[in-house]
Amino acid sequence: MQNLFFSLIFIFPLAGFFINAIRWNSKKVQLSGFIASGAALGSFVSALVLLLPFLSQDASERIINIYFFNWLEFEFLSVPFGFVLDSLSGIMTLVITGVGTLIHIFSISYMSGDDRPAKYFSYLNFFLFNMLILVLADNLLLTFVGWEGVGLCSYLLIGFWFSDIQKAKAGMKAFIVNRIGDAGFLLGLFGLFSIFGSLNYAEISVAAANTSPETWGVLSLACLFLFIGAAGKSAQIPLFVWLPDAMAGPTPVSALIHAATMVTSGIYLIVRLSSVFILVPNILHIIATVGVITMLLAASIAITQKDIKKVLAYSTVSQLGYMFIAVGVGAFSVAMFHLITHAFFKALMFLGAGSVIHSMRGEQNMDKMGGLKKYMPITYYTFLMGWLAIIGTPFFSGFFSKDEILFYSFASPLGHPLLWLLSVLGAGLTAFYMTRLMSLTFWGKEKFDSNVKPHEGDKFITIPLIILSILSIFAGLISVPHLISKTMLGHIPNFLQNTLALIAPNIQAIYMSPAQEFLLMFASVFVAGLMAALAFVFYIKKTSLPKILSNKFKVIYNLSLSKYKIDEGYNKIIVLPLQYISKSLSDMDKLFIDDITFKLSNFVQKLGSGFCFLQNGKLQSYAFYFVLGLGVIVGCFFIT
Amino acid sequence: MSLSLLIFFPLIGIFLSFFVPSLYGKRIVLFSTAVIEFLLSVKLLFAFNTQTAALQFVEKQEWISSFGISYFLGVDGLSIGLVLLTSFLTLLIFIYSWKKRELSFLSAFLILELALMGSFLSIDAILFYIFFEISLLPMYFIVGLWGGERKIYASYKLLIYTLAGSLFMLLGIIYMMNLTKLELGNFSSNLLDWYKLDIPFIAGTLFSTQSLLFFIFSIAFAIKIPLFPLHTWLPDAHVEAPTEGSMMLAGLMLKLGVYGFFRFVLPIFPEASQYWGWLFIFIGVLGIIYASLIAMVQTDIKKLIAYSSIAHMGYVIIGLFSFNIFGLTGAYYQMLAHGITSSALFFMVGLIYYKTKTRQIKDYGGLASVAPYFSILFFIFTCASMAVPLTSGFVGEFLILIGAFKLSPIIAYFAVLGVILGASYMLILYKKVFFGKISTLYKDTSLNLDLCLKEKYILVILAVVVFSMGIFPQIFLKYSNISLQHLNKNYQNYNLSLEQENK
Repeated sequence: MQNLFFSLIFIFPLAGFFINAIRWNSKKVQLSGFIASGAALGSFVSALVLLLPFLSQDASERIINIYFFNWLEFEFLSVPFGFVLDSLSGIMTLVITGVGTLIHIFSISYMSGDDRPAKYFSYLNFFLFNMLILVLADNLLLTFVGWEGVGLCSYLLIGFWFSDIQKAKAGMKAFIVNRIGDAGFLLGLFGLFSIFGSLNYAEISVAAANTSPETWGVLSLACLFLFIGAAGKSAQIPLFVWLPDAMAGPTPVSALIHAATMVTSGIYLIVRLSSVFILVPNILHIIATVGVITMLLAASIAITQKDIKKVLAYSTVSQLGYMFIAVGVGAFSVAMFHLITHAFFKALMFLGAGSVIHSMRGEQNMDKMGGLKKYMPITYYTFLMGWLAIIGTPFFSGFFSKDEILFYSFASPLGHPLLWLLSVLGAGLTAFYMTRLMSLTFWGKEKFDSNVKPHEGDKFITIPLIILSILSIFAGLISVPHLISKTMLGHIPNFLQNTLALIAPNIQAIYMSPAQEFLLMFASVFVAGLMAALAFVFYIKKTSLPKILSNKFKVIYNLSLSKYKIDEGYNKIIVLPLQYISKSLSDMDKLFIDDITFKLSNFVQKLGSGFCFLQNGKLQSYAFYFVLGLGVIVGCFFIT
Repeated sequence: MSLSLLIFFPLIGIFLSFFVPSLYGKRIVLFSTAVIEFLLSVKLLFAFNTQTAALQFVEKQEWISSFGISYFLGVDGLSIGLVLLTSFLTLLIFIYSWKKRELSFLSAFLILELALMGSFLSIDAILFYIFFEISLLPMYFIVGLWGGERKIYASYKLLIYTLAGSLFMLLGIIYMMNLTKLELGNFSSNLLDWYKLDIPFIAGTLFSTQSLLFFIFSIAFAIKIPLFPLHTWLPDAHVEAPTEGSMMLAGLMLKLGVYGFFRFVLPIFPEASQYWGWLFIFIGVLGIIYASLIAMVQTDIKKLIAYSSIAHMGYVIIGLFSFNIFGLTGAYYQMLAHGITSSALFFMVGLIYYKTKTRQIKDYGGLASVAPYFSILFFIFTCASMAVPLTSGFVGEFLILIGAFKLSPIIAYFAVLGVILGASYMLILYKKVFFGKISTLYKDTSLNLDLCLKEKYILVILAVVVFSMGIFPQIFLKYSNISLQHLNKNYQNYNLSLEQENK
């Protein structure tokens, strides 16, 4: 029975993919959409059926394995198609299929004008399938299968409207940049395999407990490579450049793949291997550092962007940075916590943005929006919940999870006050750019053309928004920090931390008094509130201010607006030289290497024609050679 | 099951076709020859015993006894896959072109099939050499008679270049036969005798017998593979060859070289292989990066795929010389997988070229909008070429990389660049040809660029093979496993026993 439901988790999306793939030419958006949404829902329900009994079980019993057949089998390398459902993969599965279902439903309305809906939905289902392989795999290589699979789906969906070459390019860029990470993943995988002799997660974590310190050098290197893989998928420096471009895809795709699920798989990978990563604190330091730099960099770019999706994209990069800070300080289940809340509120905001873009006929520039509050109330109020959550309004989901990260960045033995300070600064920037987005889009003056008539979407659009907004408000309750639960809310058990205690335990934080903790919390809430108020003043009350400031600090403003010219830099440093080298090699191949063979054959020909004069056809010459030869032979005889 | 029948059946088919009066009848005879040949090889596969590394279905006849040359055939795990690949690809080619092409064209392919079968099944060096050379002749005519604009140039280059390699091999064979005279007391070109030889090897110098012979044979096979820097004949030959010719070239002819390493170089010159292996690994890594970079800037689709073949063969060489079971198996699997993928890609390029008369990438664009089926299938083979998991390309590449990592992580660090570059050139190609605005080349024509039913069948069969090789590699590895393990464990004193012929 368990096996059946476990298989169904995969079979639903796979079947959905095949059905829609076979009828790819169909233009019936509702039918295609219902098939795909039904598949996603079916997968969600199957997972739920398996996971509900977990609640009453002992923590150590919360694990279900399933095994199909061996994929690769050698003397000591054995890679089965085997999957494991435990608390960690279970939570991920619920998020993926749950948020996935809502986004599928949203897509039914969003893609109604498109001429290839069946193809779109088949890709979406195939993405779910691969994502589920990624999180449910019981070994690293199978995770890699899903890892590449989701990359492929992302490629297909970013470039879904491929007749626009820019969109096709964005898809290609995403895949190639991800491939750099994938190469790192593979090297990390080889490293772990050579150390532990296994690719199975359970076996690795058992073996990791018994490693001798001599292997830590090799282990560090392997973990560093795995982190490169994670940084590729989860858009961290230096591999984050693909994610903003990925916004070329349809907006629901951005919500599903580039906000809620795929981009978090890097975090998932490290959390899954937390028993290994915790052994190499030097790598964790690198992870936290990369996380915090990425977080600040992306947030500082988001402040000046005009495209609503670009703001959200950089915001996603920035929030992923927070999650990496969390894993970097050893707070693994906290990283998962932020992953979950972020999946809800960021998916909500992307769908909200999609709803806005849809009703504005494809307009994405926030300078041409404004005052949408009264035209699209449901979108507005749900988006408002997302906004409150992400800027860390107390008791919204984002508040709990972000605050836990800030706490650990300070109080973890791997943390540092500076890390905390920068994270608080990041929280301030987040509050600023999100409030700016709200002001430019929903509040303030109407700046759109009079012929654009913004309107609320139909129920396919609004229902997912409402559900996600409820989740964005309350999802924090699954892991209420002990400080708040004790002092304010009565004693709520920290569900998430208890659930993950065996798989991804948090590092033991340094003891702090409640007063100190409250001080930390207050500081971050204060900074965020201040920055939000500032943004409100800038973009609603004194709308001339941003212009004045941007003129005054033109250099900084332009730097942020142009995204620090990182893309251009990569182009100059990597892409163009590579093209130049390739061209030169191509010429060399023709003009030099190939030419050697010609030189050789010419030499042989020349040699032949050089001796040609001997064969001149004159009988007398031949007689002369004959006598000459005879003379030489006779001469030899005499000498010897 | 007679291996001789398997080898010479194509000749029988050609001969029979002489006695059929109508042109159509002749075509049917030739086509059925390819079909029956395929069935024969399938029958061999079913009769094949996967539990032994010994040679099976052995046939041995004295031939030139004063020189110890014999007509000696046998099949084992190293050759069975290639035998099947040969008859399979030939069959697909016949399905596509049996009604379209001239009879001489079809016959040339049957003779090519004969030569390839013979090469893969010979256990005698001279016999192998003869079949190896015969395979060149039909290819020479296929390129030279039915090729593109510069067909004469290309066919000449192909012939001279590979003949030069063969000359090396002949030299090596004669030297080896002399050695058998010295050590065993009589001339022999029997591979089983060669395996027994203890060829003097001195580390540190090139001029010890074993090292010299190792290089002589390696160069002969390296030209065929082709290995950087002996590869320049390949892009020309591929570009000028007719579609079916490119398929055979990429799918099978290149594998003759790899097979040579498996059958000759590694087991006969074990010390030298191990000692000089780093050199070949270096060349392999260099070849991957070099060919991938060049592929990225090609303007001709066929040339791009030709260079990608060179890059893939770089992997194979790394696998061969990593001296562990992962590398060897990976090399073997990559060889089979590449045979399927590259011939599928060449086939598709040929199809579109036939309709548009251009192979220049810049002439294309937006093909996905006008030829959806074509685009989907091309994408599948693109994925296989860039080794996406669950396609045939991944298994081999993964095993080779893990094998290289076991030998030395540094190799893997560099070889893994090919993973990134491979995705780059294939996706750049895909973007330029299939995405973007619909090219003016076919915007306003009524030309149907998409696949017709027969083409769909052929490509779907290939796609099914690609996925089954990716998802169920064990089924394919089953046949070669024991032989590869045998080679891996015993290559220092390799030997093959003979199995009593099965009934």
